[in-house]
Amino acid sequence: MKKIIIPLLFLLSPFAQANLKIVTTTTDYADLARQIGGDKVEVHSVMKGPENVHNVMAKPTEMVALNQADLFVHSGLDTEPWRDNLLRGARNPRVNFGSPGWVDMSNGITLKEVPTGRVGRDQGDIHGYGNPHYTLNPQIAQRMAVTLVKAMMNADPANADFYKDNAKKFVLSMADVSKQIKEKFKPYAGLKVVSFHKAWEYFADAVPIDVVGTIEEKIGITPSAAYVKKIIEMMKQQGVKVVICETYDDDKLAQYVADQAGAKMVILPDHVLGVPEAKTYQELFQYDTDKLIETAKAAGVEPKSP
Amino acid sequence: MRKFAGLLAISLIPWSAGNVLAQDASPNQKLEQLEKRMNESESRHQAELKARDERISKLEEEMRQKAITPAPTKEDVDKVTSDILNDIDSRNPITQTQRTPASFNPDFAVVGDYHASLSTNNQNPARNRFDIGSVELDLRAAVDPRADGVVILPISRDVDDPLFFRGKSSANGNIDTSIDIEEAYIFLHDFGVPNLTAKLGRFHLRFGRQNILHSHDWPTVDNNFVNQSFLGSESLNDSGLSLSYVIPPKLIGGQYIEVIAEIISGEGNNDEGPVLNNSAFVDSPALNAHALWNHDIASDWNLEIGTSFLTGKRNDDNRQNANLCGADVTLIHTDPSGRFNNQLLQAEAIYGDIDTSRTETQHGFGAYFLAQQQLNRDWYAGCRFDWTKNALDDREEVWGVSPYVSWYWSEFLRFRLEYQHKAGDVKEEDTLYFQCTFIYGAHPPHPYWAVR
Repeated sequence: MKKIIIPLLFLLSPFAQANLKIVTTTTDYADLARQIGGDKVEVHSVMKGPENVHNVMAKPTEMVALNQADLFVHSGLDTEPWRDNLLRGARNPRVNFGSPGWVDMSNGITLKEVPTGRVGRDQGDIHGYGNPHYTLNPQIAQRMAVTLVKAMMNADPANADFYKDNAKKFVLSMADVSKQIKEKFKPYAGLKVVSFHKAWEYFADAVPIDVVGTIEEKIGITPSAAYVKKIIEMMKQQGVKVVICETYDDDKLAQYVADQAGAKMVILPDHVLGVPEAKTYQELFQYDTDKLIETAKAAGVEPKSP
Repeated sequence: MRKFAGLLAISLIPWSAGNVLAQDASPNQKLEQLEKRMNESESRHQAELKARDERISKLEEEMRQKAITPAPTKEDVDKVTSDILNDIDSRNPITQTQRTPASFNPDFAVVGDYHASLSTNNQNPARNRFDIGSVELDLRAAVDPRADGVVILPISRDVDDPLFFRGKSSANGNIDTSIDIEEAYIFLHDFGVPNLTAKLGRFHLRFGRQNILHSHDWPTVDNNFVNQSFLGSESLNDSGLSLSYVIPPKLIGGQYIEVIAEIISGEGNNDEGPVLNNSAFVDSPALNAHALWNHDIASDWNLEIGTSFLTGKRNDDNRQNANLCGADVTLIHTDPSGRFNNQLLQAEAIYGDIDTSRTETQHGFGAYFLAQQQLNRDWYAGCRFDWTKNALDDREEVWGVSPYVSWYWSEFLRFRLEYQHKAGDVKEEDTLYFQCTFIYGAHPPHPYWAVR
């Protein structure tokens, strides 16, 4: 009986038998870990894709996965305010702050919009370290691959060469993606957009869009009617034809703003699996770029001649 | 390198020997010449090796010196001096340097909870008034790499508001302004036993689900009736030791099962504790146990089932017992699209055997059910249904219906409106509550069970 029950329990476990068990906060890190780790790793992402990374529920069922993890991969910033609850509930000292299993993906990344003066809640749900949406840039993804592969090699030296080779492949693949999307977007370079949340500032370094404003006046706070009117006026004045709404934000309000300003609204994922078509990190960038071009065309934006 | 030089020397032997032998000399002379040349070759080789080793040592020393501190050159010193002198002469303001502060202060937050009510019950002094119900000071910090400290100090202005209000005689109407220790404990999150944590100090008892919440985290303005009847108007807190163990998930198929065992003084909340109100700590501490199973029944549905048992003494009489059993079920649906179609369904029931004298035992029970729907990004609506017996007099019962809406301006500022119809063996009343809850400072994120 024991012979039957024990293997059955392992089958039910969130992790099958793998060399390295990795829990990530977001789907981007999870995809990166899968691409580097291949069949040597088991990866579990707490975030599933379309939801707001700032508001994920750290349920005990997620703590179960983290309880058994060798690596905990996260943004290192205040992107995931729920991270501490998850860690505390997981009761796994191997992945606590300061342990080798604590993988801070912001290492080596220059953040944008780092507050320099006074910081207070009158600025909304402001991020103390700077804009945390750095995953939306293929070149930053390359840097993240370095951080992650080093942690993986350290945790599982037997497969270090395997991880290193895959990390190099990922970095090269992201270089291709970076070139492709820039080239693809060339006719619309400088496209003026308004986004709902301040999530596209790093993306704008990879795909030359000009984020001229956000529907949220203050980060994370629903805007007042007066501000919505103001942003619509600004869009009309500046000829903004595209509104980006993240998968988790208020698409009705975004649609209203777009309609009033004579623009087109597009819902874009800012994380892997934010939509089913963005199954991998590479697909996420391709999807977002294609959709932006499609929306610009639909909005009547004239492509620039080469 | 040494090996290479040695091999080179050996390989030269036949060549040298050939040359020597080719000369016209006696065999002895030839051998002497050969030996001489070999000795010269060896000497040269040794000299080369020595020179190379000296050069390596010199380079190593240079590198060490560089790694230590490059001593400023005369030009460097002159340039810095000149820059500083220029700075003194200039009208530039002092150069500001940004520093990252290393702070050992605890995270400090203030939680304010403003209440107002409009009621048909004019006799109850807790109705038809508005006040800042409580201001809570929340201090937290790591005490040690393996322990955190938590202190919650509410400063409250309360008017006695009994659940079973029977007229002016049952509530004095005095405004009680006080500071209390709601919680003050050390949380040991890693003391060597895997999956075991402990709290030592004063804390909310882990009885059911709502009792562990601070009042500003409740989904409704007021506490549910069954908790008020059995555990106290706000919550049952006590001092003691709480141990929490998560059964290793790999042993039970990746399931989450947590078991909590608590030993407490049994004092309850002093005069507010309807069930535990015992100061005879040494004779009879109280015991509380809670077990919960949390499971994702589907990718977007999470279920939690819990059961609790509390046993202690009532009053200072060791012959009067208080035993409570509780059950709680919570079902949370999260919008798979990542947006706002989230639902919360929550129910708790308590049964109690409570001695109210040496000869009388009350067999009371009660329950509540709460359903909440998120309407959009900032708005939530829900309704709570209550029914409970009086824990200390099982002939009495009270029921209520409380629909409510919550409006979040942000994570840190919430307004709530709640209508409540209350009836049963109490004066029937219809009340409209208004609540404004605000948080400022470094408040930790709410745990998963505080579904806003």
